[in-house]
Amino acid sequence: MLAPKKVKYRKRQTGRMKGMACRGSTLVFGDYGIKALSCGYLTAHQIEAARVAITRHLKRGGKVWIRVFPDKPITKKPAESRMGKGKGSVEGWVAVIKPGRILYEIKGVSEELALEALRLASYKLPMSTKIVRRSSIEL
Amino acid sequence: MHLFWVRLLSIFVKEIPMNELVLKAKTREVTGKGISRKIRRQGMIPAILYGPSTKPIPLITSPQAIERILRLKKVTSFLDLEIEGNPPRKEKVIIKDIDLHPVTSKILHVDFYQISMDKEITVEVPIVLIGRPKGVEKGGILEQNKRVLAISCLPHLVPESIEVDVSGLEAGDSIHIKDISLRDGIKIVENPQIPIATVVVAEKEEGEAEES
Repeated sequence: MLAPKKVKYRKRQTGRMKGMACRGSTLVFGDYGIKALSCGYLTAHQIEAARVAITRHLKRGGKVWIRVFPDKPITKKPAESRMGKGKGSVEGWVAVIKPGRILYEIKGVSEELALEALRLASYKLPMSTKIVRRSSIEL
Repeated sequence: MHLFWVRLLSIFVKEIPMNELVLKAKTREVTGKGISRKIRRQGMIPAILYGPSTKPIPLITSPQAIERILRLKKVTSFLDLEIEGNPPRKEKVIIKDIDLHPVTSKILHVDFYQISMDKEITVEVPIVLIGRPKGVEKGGILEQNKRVLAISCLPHLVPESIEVDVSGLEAGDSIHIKDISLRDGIKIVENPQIPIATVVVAEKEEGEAEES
């Protein structure tokens, strides 16, 4: 599972997800990719589940890039505990996704195979997405 | 295509002999995000013209015309920009930069760079890989690390694309910027050690390996 090796501070404030992705919104490595259309948290488990869906469908061949990394710790209080007594313990890691962000990229396989693999991966993701391909307008 | 857009295109783009393109634009007096959004709601886009011998001029142009130019020719080709205004003027320009919407990929803004034919310019030219590497036939994947190359030369020497032959690459081999040879008068303004393309060995499926 993806997680940072070490962090400066163990716990982080919630924050807000306003606006659109200003970075990572174009295909850089591959020819096909998944683009997020809404915002949300993408957990390390979901990133791994979608990656497995892609690699299983591609079998051998092709290269997959994961363009997001879960660097934000998510805390949770234990069940049936009263409020107060400080912030809960770290339960997992998420990547903060804004609309327009490219999540995965694929290269080295046929268009049909790539689109089907990305379609299967998109069912593992908690936000609405679309499949994009490299166009002549992107510089 | 809708008749409205067909008429609009015929107003803003016309092809002239010698395979050159003419793009029409209007000057705009006011700048800022409010007026830019208003322009986009009307189906046009804000643009700007700048260069070594002109002050920056805010413009309005048609996004469909820009898209058509990009489909017809490469980004590095010259355009004749006809600016309606007082006084009207005509400039030789290249498209320096294009801003795209992160979700819809529609064109939001265009930068035009004025060129003079006797001064060197620095532009990014697309790299086209030709040939099928030997490593790919053995199951490798051709990975293109660099898609554009920054070069400096006189405007009439700017190539539409730079072709790089990768047919000799085996699995694990790379071709670097230093391996490219260009005609006299064209200088590469990037680190020669940067790889352009690499043939990598295909990934094995990790999921099944973990399960077993």
